[in-house]
Amino acid sequence: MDFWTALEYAAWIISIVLFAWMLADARFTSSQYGEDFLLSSREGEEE
Amino acid sequence: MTAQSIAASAPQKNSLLKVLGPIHVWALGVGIVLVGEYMGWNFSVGKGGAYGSLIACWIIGLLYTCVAMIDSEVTSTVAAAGGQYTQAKHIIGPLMAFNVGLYLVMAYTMLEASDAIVVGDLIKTIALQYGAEVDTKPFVVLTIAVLAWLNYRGVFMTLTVNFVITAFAFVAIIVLFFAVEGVGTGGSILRHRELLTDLPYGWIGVLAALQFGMWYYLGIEGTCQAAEEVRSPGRSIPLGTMGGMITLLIAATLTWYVCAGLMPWEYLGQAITPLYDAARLTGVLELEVILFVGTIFAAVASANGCINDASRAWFSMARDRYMPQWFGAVHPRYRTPYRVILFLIPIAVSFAFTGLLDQVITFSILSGLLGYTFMSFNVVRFRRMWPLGTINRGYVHPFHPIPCILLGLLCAATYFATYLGYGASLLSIMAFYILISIWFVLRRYQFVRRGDQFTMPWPKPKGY
Repeated sequence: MDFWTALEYAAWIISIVLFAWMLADARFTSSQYGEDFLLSSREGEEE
Repeated sequence: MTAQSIAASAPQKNSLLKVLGPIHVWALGVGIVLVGEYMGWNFSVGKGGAYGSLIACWIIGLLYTCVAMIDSEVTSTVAAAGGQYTQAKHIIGPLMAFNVGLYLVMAYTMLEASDAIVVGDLIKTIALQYGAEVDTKPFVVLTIAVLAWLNYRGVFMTLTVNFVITAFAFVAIIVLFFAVEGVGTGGSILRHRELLTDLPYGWIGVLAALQFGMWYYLGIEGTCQAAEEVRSPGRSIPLGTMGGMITLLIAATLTWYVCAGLMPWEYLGQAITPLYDAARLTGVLELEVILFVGTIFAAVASANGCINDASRAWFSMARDRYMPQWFGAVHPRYRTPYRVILFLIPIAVSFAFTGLLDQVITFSILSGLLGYTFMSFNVVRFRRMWPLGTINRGYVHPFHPIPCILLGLLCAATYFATYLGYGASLLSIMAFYILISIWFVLRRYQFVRRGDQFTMPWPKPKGY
């Protein structure tokens, strides 16, 4: 396998890992917090 | 930690984090735009010649100065994510707000897809120089994946990275300018006297060049998407936006000056990477490397800022239920609109996989242009409903109503210019927005939180 082919595979693998991480984190977050809290942001409200 | 203990220790409200300063606002605006200096602007040379392109650069510069001034004034009072969408909601009404929100999402997602295509093409070019042929798709996906991940993890790091790579790309243009001018090394290698010609297609060519003149500045108005995440919006947004506009005027003028002095207009008008080509013409390897890295950084910074802006616009619409409310969630740890960031990934990847760079970018430009047209009458209504002195403005733009009249006229001229080159695209995009507006009125508006939409602590508008 030449350098450029390895680079292509590396790009696919890193992309899949990052997507999988984000999806897993989003799923975990939704399971740990209630929807009311996750959706509680309101425009114009200060913290 | 159990779900109960997390819920017990969490605050009652979840919101975006106010951590940004003026340099982040600058990085967001200039980061989105600077790629237009590295590529794209030069198609205006093909339409109107080198002088035609310079005239387009200045005329469109005037258009964007009006945009930056008007936007700074309205945003300094409407400090919420969503930018122009939120402005439209408060000042015009729901249908306009829905359309403006969509212009923003489309303009930025298409621009993000275009930037990813550019990164893939640049890597392919480098591979070809080494005699290898690569598929651009993995690099397109990697660009979007890394930037989406960065955006998912927090706005502060996202825009700090954008500041560093945007500053590098801007400094690279200045370094190239000094090098070709011969500062510190001897004589200038620029040949403006021999290369500059009269307008090859007359003034109609200059008019046609306006469409591509937008590449010099397209996206600077994206700074106001950060309004809900800056520590002091009244100060940071005008400072970052106007500072960004000054940066772009300098970068655009230097870019034109260097490229027009090194390449004949016939070549420059169809070059893919004009600044990188200019560096190659100097024969200095270090310059070549700097400008290549600058080109990659500019494309990456643009895509990064676009993910930030598109997600904030969609998030704001979801919060008001213009879109499904599910998208209005904020990540409790990273304080980002994480569901929208995830949702927009496959859309950007799909558009990038078409590889139709000119069609995708035309959709982006026209969506942006529709947004600027909205701004011209939005500010008139804003000043009429809340005259100076009735609400606290962080910035007041001068010479009103001249900037909004000028903006309206320049937008009309640019529509005509676009019609000359991309008439079918212009008409199909108009048809798309008309159809989606009908869908909004008939189907979606019933879900909108009508009573909760007006969130600014302003007095009743004049005449109501």
